[in-house]
Amino acid sequence: MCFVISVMQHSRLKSQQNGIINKIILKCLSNFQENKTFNVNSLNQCFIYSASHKRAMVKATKQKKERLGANIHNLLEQNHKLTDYYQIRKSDRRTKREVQEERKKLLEYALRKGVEDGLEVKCIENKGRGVFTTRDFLKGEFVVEYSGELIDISEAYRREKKYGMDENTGCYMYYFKYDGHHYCVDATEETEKKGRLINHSRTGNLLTRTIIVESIPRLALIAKTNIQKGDELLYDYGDRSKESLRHHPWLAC
Amino acid sequence: MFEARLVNSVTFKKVLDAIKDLLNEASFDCSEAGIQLQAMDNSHVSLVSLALRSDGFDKYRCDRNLTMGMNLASMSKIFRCSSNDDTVTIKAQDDADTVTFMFESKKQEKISDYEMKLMNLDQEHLGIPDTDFSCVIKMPAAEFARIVRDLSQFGESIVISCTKEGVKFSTSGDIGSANVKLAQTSNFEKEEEAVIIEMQEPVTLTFACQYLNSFTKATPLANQVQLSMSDNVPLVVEYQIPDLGHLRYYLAPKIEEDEN
Repeated sequence: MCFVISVMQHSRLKSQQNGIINKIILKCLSNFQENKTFNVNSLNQCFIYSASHKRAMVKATKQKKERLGANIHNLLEQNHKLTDYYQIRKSDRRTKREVQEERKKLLEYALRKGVEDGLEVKCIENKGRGVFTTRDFLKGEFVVEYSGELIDISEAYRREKKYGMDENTGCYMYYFKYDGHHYCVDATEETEKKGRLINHSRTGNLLTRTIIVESIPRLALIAKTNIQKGDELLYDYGDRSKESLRHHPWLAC
Repeated sequence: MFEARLVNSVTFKKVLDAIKDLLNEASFDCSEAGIQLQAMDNSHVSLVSLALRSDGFDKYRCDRNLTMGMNLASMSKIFRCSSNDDTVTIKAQDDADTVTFMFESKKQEKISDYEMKLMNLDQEHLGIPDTDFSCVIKMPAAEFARIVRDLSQFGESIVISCTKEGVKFSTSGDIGSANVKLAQTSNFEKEEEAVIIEMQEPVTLTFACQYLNSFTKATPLANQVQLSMSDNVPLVVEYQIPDLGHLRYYLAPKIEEDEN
């Protein structure tokens, strides 16, 4: 009996472990009672119980830890998620306005940087020079700028007369209207720029768009359809006046 | 090319301190309009939304939209190397995989730059609609921080209830309960000390202390904080960064017992 009590003192009982220890004590007691006498065998059993008690303690702390973990888990379980209220936006899903603005920005960027990649100039028999693609272009993609000198309409007429005198000068004047004003981009002067060399077709694969960059209107040629690598770039010059047709009959096709 | 220069680098430092508790890393979306950041914490319970307008910077240039994924712990390490009155310039090339932070001391005698590797973060953006809130509470930021700190000692969650009379923060836990009531200020002389409540209808919502405590790390950024609440939508805690932008936190409410 005295031995069992010393176990009790030794283990400094915590309230929640009371039950486990009590069970061990009871078991010990019953063992002692059965054996009646204090012998080596029962002492051994006592040690076995103390070991099992230790195991029980370990088990209890483990359970406690698990409970704590569950608490943290519960804590999260108890909270709504933001995704219950707001939808996750797919990265490429934006409002129409955002997309348009971004496209405009990209266009302005391309114009400012003078982007001209994916293009090559080739000579075509009976037609002269033409511009061909060296990569695919997607519909709506910026292809090249029709770059030249921006002049007003009266200056354009004056120059056209001058150019008309010389049979060898081609037709490189692009007339357009923006915000009620008539403008012309004169690309007659031979430059590195490829935009001026693109040929005419009424059913071309490019469209022209006027873009304002730093308050100056500029002409961007945009892919009208998906363009495959190796295709010739063409757009509608839009000039069907009798005078032009007499000089350049190909404008009709 | 991206370049943003801010004479008061301490503002950026404060912003970092305000978000690094909730986020380990985040994507800074830079455009001509400015720098934006939106990210949820790991548990998806709260969200940080930061907007810094380009005109708030002393110099700002962004030729092409770019997203810079940064580790916030590394970033704050870098900012810890700067003095509060340093000028900071954040620079990145288009399509670069690093970002450079340059610090110039006030008298220009010391210039240090730190280059940091960028990360490719696959972050989910939330589409947050404009909401008309039932209650909008404006109060001193320090007061809010104090209340949240005090009440977190008692319980894990705080009940915020807003009525015509004022706003009440309460909690209860093992040791007992705590209540803090704030009345609207009738005296509008000191704007930064005012408590102003705009209420359409009364609202009572429960939030986890842990997140509210993290939000109050933004206290040094602003004198006033704005809490917006409506039934069944997340709480919005907003700090205005003077002349530069705002920092908003969104927090999903706790699930009430009767909901289960």
